[in-house]
Amino acid sequence: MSIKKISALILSLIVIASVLVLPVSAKKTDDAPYLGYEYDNESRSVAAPITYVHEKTVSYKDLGLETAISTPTDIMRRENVIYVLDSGNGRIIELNLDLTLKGVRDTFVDSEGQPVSFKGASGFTMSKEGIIYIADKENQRILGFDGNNTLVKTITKPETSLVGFDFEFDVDKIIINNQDLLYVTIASVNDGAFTFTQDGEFLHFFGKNTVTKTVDVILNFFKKKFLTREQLQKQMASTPISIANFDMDDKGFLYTIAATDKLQKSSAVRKLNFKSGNIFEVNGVVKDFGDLEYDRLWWNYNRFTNFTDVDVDDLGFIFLLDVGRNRVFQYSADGQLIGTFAGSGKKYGLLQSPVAIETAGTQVYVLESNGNIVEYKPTEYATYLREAFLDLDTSDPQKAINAWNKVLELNTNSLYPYYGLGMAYEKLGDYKTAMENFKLSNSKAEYSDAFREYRKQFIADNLWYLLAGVVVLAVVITVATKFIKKKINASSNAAYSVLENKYTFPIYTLTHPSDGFGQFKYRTYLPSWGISAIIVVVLFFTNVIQYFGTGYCFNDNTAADYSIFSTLLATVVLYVLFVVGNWAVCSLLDGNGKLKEIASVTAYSLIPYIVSQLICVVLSNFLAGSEGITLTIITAIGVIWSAMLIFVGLGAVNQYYAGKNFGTILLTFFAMIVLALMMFLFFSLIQQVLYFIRSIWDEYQLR
Amino acid sequence: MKKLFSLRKIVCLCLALLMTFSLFTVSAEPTVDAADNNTSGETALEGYELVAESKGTKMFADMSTGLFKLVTADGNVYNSVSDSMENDEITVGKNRMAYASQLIVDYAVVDGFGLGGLINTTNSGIGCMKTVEEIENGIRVEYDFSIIETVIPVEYVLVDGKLNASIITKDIKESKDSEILTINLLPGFSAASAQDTGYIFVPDGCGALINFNTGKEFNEYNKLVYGGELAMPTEDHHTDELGEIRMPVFGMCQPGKKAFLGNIIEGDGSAYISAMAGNDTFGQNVCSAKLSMRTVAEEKFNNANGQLVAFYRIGNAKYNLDKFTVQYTLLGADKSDYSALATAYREYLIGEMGVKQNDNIALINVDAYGALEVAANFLGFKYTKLIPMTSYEDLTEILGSLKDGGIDSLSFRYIGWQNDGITNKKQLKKNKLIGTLGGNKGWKNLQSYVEENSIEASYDADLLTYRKSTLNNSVSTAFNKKAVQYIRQRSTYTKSITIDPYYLLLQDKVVKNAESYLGSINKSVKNISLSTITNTLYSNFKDDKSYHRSDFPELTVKILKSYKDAGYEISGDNANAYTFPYLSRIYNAPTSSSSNSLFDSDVMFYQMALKGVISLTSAPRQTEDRIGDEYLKAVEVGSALLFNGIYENATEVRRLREQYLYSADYQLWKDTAVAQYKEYAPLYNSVKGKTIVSNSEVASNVMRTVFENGVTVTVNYNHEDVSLDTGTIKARSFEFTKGGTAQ
Repeated sequence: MSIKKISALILSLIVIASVLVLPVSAKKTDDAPYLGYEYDNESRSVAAPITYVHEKTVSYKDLGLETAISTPTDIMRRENVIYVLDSGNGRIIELNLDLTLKGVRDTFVDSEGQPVSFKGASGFTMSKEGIIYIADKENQRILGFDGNNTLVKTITKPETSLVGFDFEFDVDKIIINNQDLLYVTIASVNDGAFTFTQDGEFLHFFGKNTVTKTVDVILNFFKKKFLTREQLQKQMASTPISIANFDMDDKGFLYTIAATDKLQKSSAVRKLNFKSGNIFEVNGVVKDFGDLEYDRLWWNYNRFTNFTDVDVDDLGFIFLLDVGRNRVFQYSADGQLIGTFAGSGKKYGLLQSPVAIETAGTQVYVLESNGNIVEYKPTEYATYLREAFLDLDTSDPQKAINAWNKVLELNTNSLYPYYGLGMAYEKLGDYKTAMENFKLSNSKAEYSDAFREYRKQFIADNLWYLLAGVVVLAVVITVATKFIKKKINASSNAAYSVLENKYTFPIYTLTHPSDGFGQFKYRTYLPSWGISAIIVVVLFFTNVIQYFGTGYCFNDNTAADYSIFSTLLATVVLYVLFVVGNWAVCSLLDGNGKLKEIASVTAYSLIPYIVSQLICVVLSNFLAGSEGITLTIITAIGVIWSAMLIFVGLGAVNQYYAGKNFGTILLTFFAMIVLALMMFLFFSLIQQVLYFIRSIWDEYQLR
Repeated sequence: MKKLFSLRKIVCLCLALLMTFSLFTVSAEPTVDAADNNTSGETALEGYELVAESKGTKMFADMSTGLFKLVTADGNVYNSVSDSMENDEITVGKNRMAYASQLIVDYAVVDGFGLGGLINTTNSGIGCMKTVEEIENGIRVEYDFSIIETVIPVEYVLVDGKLNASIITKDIKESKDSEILTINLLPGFSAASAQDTGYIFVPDGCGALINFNTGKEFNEYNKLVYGGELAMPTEDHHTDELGEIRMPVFGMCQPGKKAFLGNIIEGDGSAYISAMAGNDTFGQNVCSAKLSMRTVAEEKFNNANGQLVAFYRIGNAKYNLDKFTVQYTLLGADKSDYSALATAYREYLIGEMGVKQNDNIALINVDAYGALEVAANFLGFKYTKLIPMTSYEDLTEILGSLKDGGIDSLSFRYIGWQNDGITNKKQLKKNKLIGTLGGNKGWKNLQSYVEENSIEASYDADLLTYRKSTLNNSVSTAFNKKAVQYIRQRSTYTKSITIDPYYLLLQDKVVKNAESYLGSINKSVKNISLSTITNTLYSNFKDDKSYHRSDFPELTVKILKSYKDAGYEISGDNANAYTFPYLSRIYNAPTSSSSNSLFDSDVMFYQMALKGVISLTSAPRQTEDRIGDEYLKAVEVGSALLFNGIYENATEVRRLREQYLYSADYQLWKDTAVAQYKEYAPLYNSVKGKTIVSNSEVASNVMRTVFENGVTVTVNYNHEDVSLDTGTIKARSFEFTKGGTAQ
């Protein structure tokens, strides 16, 4: 027996003995000292079952190693073997999937038998042929060892002008793709990965952020100005980000993560295709990863998510290791959050300083900086949810329905099962059920599609009733028009038409603004505070109805967020500001309009706008999302009509010519801003005083 | 405003550890070799004199140092301090002295200037004088801490073969400028050395074991009995706090040799349980009880420079009982495992606390959730309204469909059936039915259904918490601010800004409201579930109405007694030990620990002590931290099963405090309930009212429990089948035998 064999035997005996003496730390039951949650579509955490629980933790003692694992930097799995890069000792530890020791590779030699050390290495990978490539950061080289621990490849800094400047070849992380190309990140060159052949030939950069064009930057600026809050939340990718770590799936997609600022959204996860296009970026909007909520402690307003490693499992699920909160995030291949697990602390299942993550089948392994390896297993909920996600694109909707119902049984809070059921029922042609489910999952676009199909079905089913209805409506309108015309014509020999009395005057001015508002000057009983007030009140309620009554496809509002003050501000306050502003400006500039006249003109002129908005509210309940242009056109007509009425009306009551009228209206807007500013100053002054009183009170209490 | 605070001179502390005992006394102490004391315990007792004897247990004391040893009839010796420190080459630093001492005192020096530093306790000259005198059945030792001019008297007496160690708190003399925070009583009692094998038991959640010398990094277990101080809420948590202590006990077992159970019989409302296992720097295994005299509050501010500054203040409420007593029950070789500890505690509960045996709850229990408050608006005006999740008649539907499934043994607890629904908006003073749940008519229908089908019903009332804070009705922190109980954001564990917090009612109001509520309870109610008051206690640090948590158990007991005297049966929820004599059921009995990495395994101690005495249910399936093991855990200890049930509007809870009800829609779990009922009922019925004799792990993740009537159940928690000498048990399944025959 050779010495090597004897030592191997002794080693294995030690291993067996130590396993017997030192059982791995295991707990009997599936309890977890952390909470499960998902995010809803407003980025709020919502309770969900826990997805993964602690299975076991092993330390070097549990493995039977004599030397403690020192600054481990990477973990990988090939088939049924887990490899740990024990960087501080310059060795590789091989483990079986149940976290028992398989072997230790600690003597590495070059072709001449001289020892080679890679202490301080920061990453490694293994080719199909079993060659382990080690990113030897300390010595600025990549070493390839065969199965006998003999050096077979060495890659050093490429002699190329591509990079364009002098840089350190401090190789950091390394992976190999299915075409046997090596992808390497360099700590000092952080805008992409170097690709090498296994023979050390430098090919090109990969995953480099395309430099954003100036035009795009300007465009983004305006987008940010005009987008809604929700849209803005989906932050634009306008700054280049570095690659901190990466992984590659079977299909050749490269998943990269970048270090993030503590307050920055964690939009730093990218899924790159072979052209380095980001799959997670759609129309310039990037998917968010990590925690979307902030710490609410005022002294510690922080986002904390800080990814350090990524792993894609065999089914395409993405695992991200967050060292900000020592948590693992799992996402579907499309970037939907499956769940999070672990956290910081000294409890089973919590982590203290995780370094890297790896998966094998359903199990997840986290490597900690003290050399401990922590294994997690999925719960029933995670198993069902993952299965259901895989069934999303299935051709068998019934199978998907079964899968999603299993998820629903365990979690009625989650939006995913409703979305999944919606998709399945849509495939089955049950659009009504699909719509209900899409509504529950808050999926507007999908709801809109299902709604269009449902409407089509409805019209086809009820064609004759609908046609009859249209005919009846046409007859009613014709008869009514004739009747009204007759009534108006009956008194046409009077000085003024029927409409030209005080109470129907707002209707008359709709089509006769110049004449109508002109009459204010000599029939002084026409302008009315009361009617104006009623119209403004109607405007207010139109706004309320719009908030709540707009069809689901077009309604981004949530009832809980409604604020009566913002509606007041957008209607009554704005109206008052405009009237007062115009009156003030015109009084200074020889305008003849009285406050009452200006108030009436403005109010009467708003009628087209109000009517257009009410029509939109009704129509929005019958239109699908893609047909929104109709609503825009109707709104535009209402706005232009109202604007025209205001312009003509103010000209008439102030007795201005067009140019001066235009000028005073512009000045009115300026006056409105000044007025608003004054109000703001007044309120903030009051607030300051209250704040001062409050702080004195607080201090008094604490003394 | 921030600047103002930086100029303040705030009351500050300096924390320090003080040893009762100087080095020379350690060395002067006679050593006892536990291994050969079976032949004669007396040989190692030089310098000690016999001071008391009770039921075969003798107490020997060193009248100059106050150290004592207990020698039981079977020859086991229990030392009042660690006796192996002399030969201990592992323990380093201050711990060497600490665990050879009878008291460890944490105190604060009130100096009024900034933050003080730590006082180095190893300075010579620190230490204390002791006056030892013999009293009836024991000794009284006065510990005089000259450095802080503080005298602490402690009595050690033998009663019924047990040791009662009492800090006489009313006789403690403190100086003006130092205040005692905690006193660790007998920290090294019967400490096990690095050579011993065994484990420490702590009552964390359901209970947990810490193996001796497990080599884990320094990690001391130190937890307040009955939960943290709610009147000093902390804002920054990074993990979920689980596994509150519900029973004021601890213990240490050296299987085959000896064991002891520590039981805080006076002052349990304000005590810590502390434990530490040996590791690379600590050669001892210890556990003890710690009296919490005062609490330190922390408040954080940003000063003028934007730096974070923490201020400390001692709460003005302090321990308010005359004594703090820990009873040590000494157990011999045949009773040296955790099952014996549970049995000893059960004997105490029945014999001394007067707990009546009454275990007869139905197997399937439904926690029905009634009305939910949601936000609504009318024409843009916001208001809140109650919507039904389970109306009075819906509940009969749920019960009916379970009955149709073949479940004969059924009961429910109704939460949110009155006033403001699931959580109190205003403090609960009078019982009112809810119109949206069906009002009087629906209620009557429910009552007649319950009567016809003889279903056991319990109705929940929360006498402690409410959401709408009114002036002067809630307890305050030491900084005189309302002690707001925030709901935590699940992602960050910090306060949620979208979910309303709640408040804790002032103690005197609690008494008042409990009284007025009692007079208003609907005639049909026979069993009232007082969930919060059976598992919550807190202090109040408001200047004029200060109240210390040590008094809260007495307040609770008074209320429970008044309800019991009025003829009600009372149900508790995850209940604290002092409520046991008044409860007929405990819902949601703890089934897991806090998963502290110091623990080596969880044990179902809570159930082992109470099964067969008080009706118990498991925790509800699928809530919070529990992941589907609840059923097997219930089977292991013969608990009834509990299901959260709602009838409609399940998706409404998503954004609310009730979001934990994510798996409560009864349609989704009723088949599971029926299946579990059919499988479990034969076993459950045969162990109803029967206590647990022993519980042990027979193979990895396979637990076996023996009940007093000989019924034995073996539960396999593994995801694989397991072969035992008695046959194969399927994965995640169980088998049981009645007097030797397999079922």
